[in-house]
Amino acid sequence: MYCEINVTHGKRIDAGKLEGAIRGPFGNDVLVLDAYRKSAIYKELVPPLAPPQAPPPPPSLFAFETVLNCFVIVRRVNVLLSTYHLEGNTSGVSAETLLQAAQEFSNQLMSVLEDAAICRARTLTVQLFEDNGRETGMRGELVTLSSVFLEEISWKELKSSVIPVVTAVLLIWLGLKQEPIKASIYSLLIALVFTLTQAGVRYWQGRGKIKWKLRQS
Amino acid sequence: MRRNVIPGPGSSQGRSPSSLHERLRFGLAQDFQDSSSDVALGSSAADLVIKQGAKVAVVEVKTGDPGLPLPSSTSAQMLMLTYQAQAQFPGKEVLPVLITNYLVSEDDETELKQQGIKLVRVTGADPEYGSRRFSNHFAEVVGLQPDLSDKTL
Repeated sequence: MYCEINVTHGKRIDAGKLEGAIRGPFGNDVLVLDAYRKSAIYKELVPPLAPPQAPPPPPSLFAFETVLNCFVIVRRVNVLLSTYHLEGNTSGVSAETLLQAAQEFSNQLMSVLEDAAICRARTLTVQLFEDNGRETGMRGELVTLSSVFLEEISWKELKSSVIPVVTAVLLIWLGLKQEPIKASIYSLLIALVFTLTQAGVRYWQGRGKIKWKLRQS
Repeated sequence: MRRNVIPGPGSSQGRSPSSLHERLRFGLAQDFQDSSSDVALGSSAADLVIKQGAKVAVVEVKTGDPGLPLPSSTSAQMLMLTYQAQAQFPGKEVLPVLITNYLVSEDDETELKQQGIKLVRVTGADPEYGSRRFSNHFAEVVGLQPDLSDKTL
C-alpha cells in the first residue's frame, strides 16, 4: 500500500523554490531511481524490471527516507499543487503504520512549509492506495478552522438547538404555555419525531453498508 | 442471450448499483457484448475488459472526490494494466481506457495521451451514468461499437 499526499499552496509555486524549502529540513536523501525500485506500483516501470517498451521513469523532484521505515518521493509540482508519494521500505509496513507515517510526515511538511513563507500550504489531503494503484477508499484531510466550522454547523450539531425552538414555536401556536403536562408531552413527541425521521434517513442512506471505524490511538 | 449482465465481484446483488464507480461499470457492461467485470491481469485487475474483434479495451474506472487531482500514480497503474493485458491477449490491439471524475490537468492529459491511454471524463452534470448517452460517448472516444440493439430506454 502507499499514500499520495496532495498539498494545495496559497500562491503559485515553482519546483525549484519548493525543493529549496523542503530538501534541507528533511535530509536523508535517496536516489529517485532507487526509491522507484522500492515502490510496488512503480518498480516494474523502471529498470531492471521495466519492459523494453516502457517509457522513461516518471518525472519527480527528489526522494528521501522518512519516519517509521517509510520513504517519500516528491512527485509533482503543478502551479498551486504539490504531490508526495509515501510508501513503506518493505511490504512488512502495515496500513496502520503507513497512516501513522502519513500523519507524522504531514505534520513535519506543514511546519516546514509554514517556515518557508513562499510556499505556505492551504490544504492537505491524503489518499491510501493498493499496491496495484487502486483506491482503498481511505481518504483524510488536514483539520482546518473552516472544516471544523462546517462540521459544527452540520445538522448533527444543530439538532439540539433546533428541537427546543420548534417545540417552543408549536407550544405558543397551540397556546399550551400554561399547561405543563401537555407541553411536556408535546416536547417529547417532537423530539421523538425528529429522532425517528433522522434514524429513517440514516438507515435509508446506509442500508446494506458496513460501518467501518478507524482506530487512531 | 446477453452474457454480461451478471454483476461481477464488488457489485451490488439484487438491486441497482449504488456508487458512481459501480454505475459506470455496470452500465458499460450492459451496453457492450463480450465484456467482463473485474478481470485479473497479473498483479493488477481491470474494472472491465471489452473484447471487440481484434481490439481489447482495458477499462479502469477511477472515481473519488471530484475536487481532487487525478492521483499521480494513475499513468503508472494504466501502463501496468496495458503490459499485463498485452501479455494476456497476444495479437490483440490493447486499448487502455481511463474513466474518471477527478480533476485532470493539461499535464496529466498530455502524459496519458503520450502513453496511448484514452481518457473519458465524467462530470457531475452527466444525468445518468450507464445510459446510452454515456456508452455512446465512451464508444466514440475509444473507437468501439456499443451493442444497444435490445436495450430498453
